[in-house]
Amino acid sequence: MQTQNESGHTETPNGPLIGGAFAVLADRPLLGLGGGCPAFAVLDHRGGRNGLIAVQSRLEAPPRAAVLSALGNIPVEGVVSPLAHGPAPGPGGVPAWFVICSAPPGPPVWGEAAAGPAWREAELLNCLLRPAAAALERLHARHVTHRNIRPANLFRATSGAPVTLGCGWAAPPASLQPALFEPPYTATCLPNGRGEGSLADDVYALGVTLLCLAIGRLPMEGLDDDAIVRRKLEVGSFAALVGEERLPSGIADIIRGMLAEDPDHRPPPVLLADPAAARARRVAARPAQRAQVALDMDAGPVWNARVLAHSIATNPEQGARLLRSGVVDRWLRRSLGDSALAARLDEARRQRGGDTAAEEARADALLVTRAAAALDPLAPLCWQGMRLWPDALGPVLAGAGNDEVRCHSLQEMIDAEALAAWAAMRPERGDPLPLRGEAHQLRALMRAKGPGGGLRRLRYALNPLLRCTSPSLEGRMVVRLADLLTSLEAAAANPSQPLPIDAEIAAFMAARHEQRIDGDLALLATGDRAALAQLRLLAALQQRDRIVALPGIAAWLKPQLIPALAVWHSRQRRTVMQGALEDAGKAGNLPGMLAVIEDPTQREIDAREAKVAADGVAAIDAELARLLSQNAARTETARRIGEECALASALCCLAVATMAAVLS
Amino acid sequence: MAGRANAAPRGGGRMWLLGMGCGLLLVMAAPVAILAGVLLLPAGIAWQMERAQAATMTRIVTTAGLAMAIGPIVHLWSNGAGWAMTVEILSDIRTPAACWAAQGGAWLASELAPLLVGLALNLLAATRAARLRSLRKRLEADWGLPPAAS
Repeated sequence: MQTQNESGHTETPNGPLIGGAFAVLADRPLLGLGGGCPAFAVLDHRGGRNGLIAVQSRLEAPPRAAVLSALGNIPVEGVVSPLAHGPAPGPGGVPAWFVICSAPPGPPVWGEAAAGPAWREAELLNCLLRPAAAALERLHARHVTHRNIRPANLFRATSGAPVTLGCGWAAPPASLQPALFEPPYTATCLPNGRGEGSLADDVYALGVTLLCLAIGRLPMEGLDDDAIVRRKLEVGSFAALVGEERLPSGIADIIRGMLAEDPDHRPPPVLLADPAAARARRVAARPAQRAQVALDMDAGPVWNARVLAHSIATNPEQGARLLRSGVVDRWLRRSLGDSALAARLDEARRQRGGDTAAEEARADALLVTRAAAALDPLAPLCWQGMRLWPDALGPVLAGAGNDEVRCHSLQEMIDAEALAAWAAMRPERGDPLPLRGEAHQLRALMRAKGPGGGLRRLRYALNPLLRCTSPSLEGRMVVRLADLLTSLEAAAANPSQPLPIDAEIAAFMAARHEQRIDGDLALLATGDRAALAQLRLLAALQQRDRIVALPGIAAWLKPQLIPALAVWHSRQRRTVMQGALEDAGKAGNLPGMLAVIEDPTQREIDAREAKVAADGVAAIDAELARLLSQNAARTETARRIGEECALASALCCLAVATMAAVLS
Repeated sequence: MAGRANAAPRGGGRMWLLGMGCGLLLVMAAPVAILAGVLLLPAGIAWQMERAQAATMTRIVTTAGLAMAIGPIVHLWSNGAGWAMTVEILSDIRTPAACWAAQGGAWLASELAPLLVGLALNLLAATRAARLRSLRKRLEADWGLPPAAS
């Protein structure tokens, strides 16, 4: 049976329906179909469709909102496409965010941890390369990258059938990819920091996949991620991955192009659809210059500039020391023979400033960032040991969660506008001006004062599908602003804090609200007006979402609102308003409560009457002072009146006596 | 009132006229003058003692004395204004006693009347102040105004 809840979501006894149609069957997991995320069976209540899966997102790794929006619910041929997404109870009844996708046509080509048999050349070209390249081309037409291509996320119905690309939407791009399948400049990043990348990165992952299926095993087995990245940087991806393997010559040529170090040198998917043309394509890429003598660093000997960039990015303390002392400069000039690069590093070193200890640390971090970008223009932004692509800042912030060290580091990075410094050192790889503007904007947003600012706000602003992590909303999936009030109403039954809106919810509201609410959010920090500001924000939300009654939130707010009634001067009116506030609160009418406290007409009348009363009191004080000061005058008046009365009485007696004497 | 420190000295012209009047009365009607003088002796004392410019108390005492003395004087005048009649009238102790008592009472009234009137005026002022304070307290309570400074 389906019902409509207050926020308009269709619900079943098992929870709300995603997109008004899909129920997640959390008790029916589908192993290996989620592209690295847990997947579950789906019941379509509207269309009755079979062959759908629900892919669960991890809380700290939100799904790709921009991609889900770009793809809409229009399937892409050859790809496990998203159809809808939303919250639903996951395993154990814990709410989670799910992406509903079309089901893959069959099992994955390989399991996540297991390799399979090698494919023949024809099968590689017809069943893998051509259909995957076509799918990538179709995604490219929708301005979307896949970023999750590997044998465990390729599916086909039967042997000899074309592959389908699996789900890559329920987690940040490439966050679930092993380092093996990523170019070194993304493999070195934090899992959430790999960024949307480009079509060329998908081509690279497809090239590694092609290689795996050609040789029937994973290359570079036994090496950890850092060793894989280092090896790729040292000898180049193709040489590192293929090594001494014997490949069919046609396949080898294609893979060589697909694994080119420079993404601009990799063949586009439209070319891969024609393997003969892809094979014939030759791009003259200059091999990395190798030094005569290695530079010794903690991570191992360094033979070229890209490995040096990687080494100082992964070990920034040692990197900064070597840069400052001129060791790197000498090595570049004498051993590597690249004086132009040395001059660029020298320029970066001259830009280093800083006097205090904090400034020293920041200056060192900026020096390392600039140096790494100069040494390897393909390398990502590095800051205090972290590597990430600028467009992945949102997922990185989401992944940092409550990790104070990581959050502090990210805060410093934004505050120092490291993004602009990094972009300025690699102009050949992108216009630094937009990134400088973005860096300014991020810093301004982070520096916004009050509960609605800081890193928290940035985290929600850059992650449209990140749930609010307020302790009040523990165990609830609040991702959209429309879900906030109903969740707070449920939390009001057992409030954990004096007021509903805490710093986390404030940041969430600031990021999600269509209008600017910074003024009201700033008032949240003021002790006496905080409750009223909260009421104003929540009442506006109630009106916006057309929610009829929120008695729980009203009762939560009411004790804190009583002091707000002090704005009324008249005691009698205050009593009346308190009654009206109680009535509106019982009805759960937050706008009504706000209207009681902030009625402008009544407030004006009250202020006017209060002024009249104050004037009256002043007049009374003046009159009392006059009465006190007139004691002497009153005594004189009394004397004069008394004497005149006595004289008048005597005169009357005289007149009577005279009359009596004359007449007798 | 007698003995006021700031009392102004009386004018010489006025004193001269009064002296001439008294002298003429003594020459023309000595018995009447003597009778009046005895009966109005307290008024004379009051006139001598009071230093205030307005001499209100003297006027009250004199007026009251005249009111009581006018009867015997008219009686003396009607009976020829002789010395025998004067002695007869003065011999009756009740006549001068009544005159003097009236003048004493007048003095007392002139002293008490300002006190009584002052009492009444102060009572009125205190009643009004109490009413104002009560109104103020009500306004303070109704409008949350600060209490009056003590």
